[in-house]
Amino acid sequence: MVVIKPNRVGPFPFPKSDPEERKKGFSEVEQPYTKEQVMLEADRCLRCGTPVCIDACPVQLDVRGMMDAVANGDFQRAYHRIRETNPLLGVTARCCPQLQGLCEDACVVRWGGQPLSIGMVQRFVADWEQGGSRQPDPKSEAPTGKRVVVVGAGPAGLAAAELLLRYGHSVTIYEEAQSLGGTAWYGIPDYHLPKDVLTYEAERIVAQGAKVIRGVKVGRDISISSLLSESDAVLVATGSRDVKKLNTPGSDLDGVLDGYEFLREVYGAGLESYLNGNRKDLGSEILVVGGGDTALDCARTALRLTQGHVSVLYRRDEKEMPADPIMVKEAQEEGVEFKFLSDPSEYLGKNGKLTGAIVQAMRLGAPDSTGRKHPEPIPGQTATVRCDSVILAVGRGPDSFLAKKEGLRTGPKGAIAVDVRYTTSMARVFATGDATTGETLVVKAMGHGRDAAQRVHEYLAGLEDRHVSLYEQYYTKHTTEDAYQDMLSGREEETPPD
Amino acid sequence: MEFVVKATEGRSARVFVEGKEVATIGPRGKAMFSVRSESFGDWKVELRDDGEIRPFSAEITCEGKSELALKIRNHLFFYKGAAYLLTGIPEEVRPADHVLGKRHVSRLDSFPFAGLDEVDRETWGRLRLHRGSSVGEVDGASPQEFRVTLSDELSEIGLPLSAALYLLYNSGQGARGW
Repeated sequence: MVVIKPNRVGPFPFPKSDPEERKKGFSEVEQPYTKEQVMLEADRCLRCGTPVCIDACPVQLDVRGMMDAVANGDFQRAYHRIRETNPLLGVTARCCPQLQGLCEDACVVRWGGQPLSIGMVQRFVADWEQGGSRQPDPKSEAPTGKRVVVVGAGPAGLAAAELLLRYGHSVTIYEEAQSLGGTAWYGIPDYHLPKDVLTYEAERIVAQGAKVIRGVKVGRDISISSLLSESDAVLVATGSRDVKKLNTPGSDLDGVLDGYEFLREVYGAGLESYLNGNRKDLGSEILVVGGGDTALDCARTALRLTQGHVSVLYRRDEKEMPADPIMVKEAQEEGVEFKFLSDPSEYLGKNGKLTGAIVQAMRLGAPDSTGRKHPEPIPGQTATVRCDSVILAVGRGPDSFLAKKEGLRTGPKGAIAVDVRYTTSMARVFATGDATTGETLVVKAMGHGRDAAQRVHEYLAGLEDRHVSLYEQYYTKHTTEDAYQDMLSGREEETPPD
Repeated sequence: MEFVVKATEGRSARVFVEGKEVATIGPRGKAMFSVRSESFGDWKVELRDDGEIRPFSAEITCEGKSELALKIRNHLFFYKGAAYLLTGIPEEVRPADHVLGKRHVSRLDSFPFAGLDEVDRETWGRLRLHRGSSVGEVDGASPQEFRVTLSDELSEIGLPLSAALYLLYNSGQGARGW
């Protein structure tokens, strides 16, 4: 009987830099394992016959194969096992909330202890490759002569482009920004995701043969019909953008900022550029409104920029907060204050400049149309607080610009309507990622992107009636009875290094 | 009622209630398993959704009947008009406390959809925000022993649901043995 080692190597959930030091700058919070530590951690893996961790990964990252290789010090094999389905290894290792419904949450070691630190092991392997052990790209099939345009170079678009290239199709990516990565570029702070990691992995995808046209906004600078005239299919992956508007009085005051625009301003052209340029004066008393990961990103970014007092106001209670609790704890360690069941009812100002806010105490009432308990004001319970800046991070919906411009049929909240084949209301036009679902995780957007790319490939190859999902392909290869017996006996097929 | 599922070989298992063996689970084809029980009837569990093998999804049929007894899609199922979420975080649990330890079966009393096919794409991506009341617990001191405790409202499907939970959330025998 294998002995389960219940505790992770190092602290749970992962080693972190000192909060008092890290909040002074933008260096990474999560600290990497050493080679010895990562091998010990990987050796905790039970090499499950039916790895639930892989089921829980939207891109079916081969966790078991990675753990087996790392435990034996074979980082090259580990890299190729996980690179097979995930072209953004270092990115997702850092920004996946692995303990929140993903691989680490599913790890069976969790039943009797702390689940495997899959993200940390993945990060080590990605960093090993980026740090001078460059590996060849996965093999691609022979050119098909088919041309696909991918609109948007965010996680969904990049993951889709990579799979389409692997199938031998010609891929052109149109991206409005100069940098690749979409929300992963400007929406994930550098202390969480250093941009050199993202740039390296995005450019590796481009180097697989994609043509990238930057600075062009499809729908404004070029139409979908023009794209269709030069391609066999168009895949729209324009992500989330439409910010939810609040009608709180005083929202137009100077000092009330939109959270996404704030992050875009700080990180969009590169952090160094912002720090050395015209920095916005946020003052020293900052309120951030919202309860998701973006609210935390805004709060921790503002803290690092100002060294001031930053409070997060959320209208529901802590248990209802959608943000990753691991990130909430990190923010608390750094001194960010959380005020739950609180919602600004008015912003106060003088000469057009924000000076404070009236904060309304809330309680949770009956469920609303979303099924969640609706926050409602407690009559007569308000407080006036002084503040220099308010950053609104209350969520955003799909980017509806292109759909409106081109007349693509939409569903709830302006999401591009697609069927199970990811086809839109326009012939030869497919859509995927946040543009079809609303804002989600990087890895989930990548999973949608890969699933859509599979459908595009099947369309181009005339295989629509013989659809096999990527998950079913994985399942068939690894967990059917024959494969299972091969795995048990050590005969499991390994992904060759090249 | 508590069902204790003990793996035997591969993905096969035996199921116990109050210490007495009441059923067996065994493979019968690709992504398909039999649950055989004199006490609770015979069942077929397919890890598919509308014919496609999908993660955390299953179709459960009582042997000899053509209609589905239960369909699980991406952790979610409907039973007798109510929505249930497997491994979600019930209202009484702080998310920060949910990263370790046992998991729950939650009844989503205010879920705004009446069937799996009605759920929109945005909701599928945010299912964990729906909290609900705990009507079951899933625990296991080790991968070999898997305990499913269900409240009375799920007792009629207790055995096949426990078998599906075992097949979806536990792991068969691994390359390092048990």
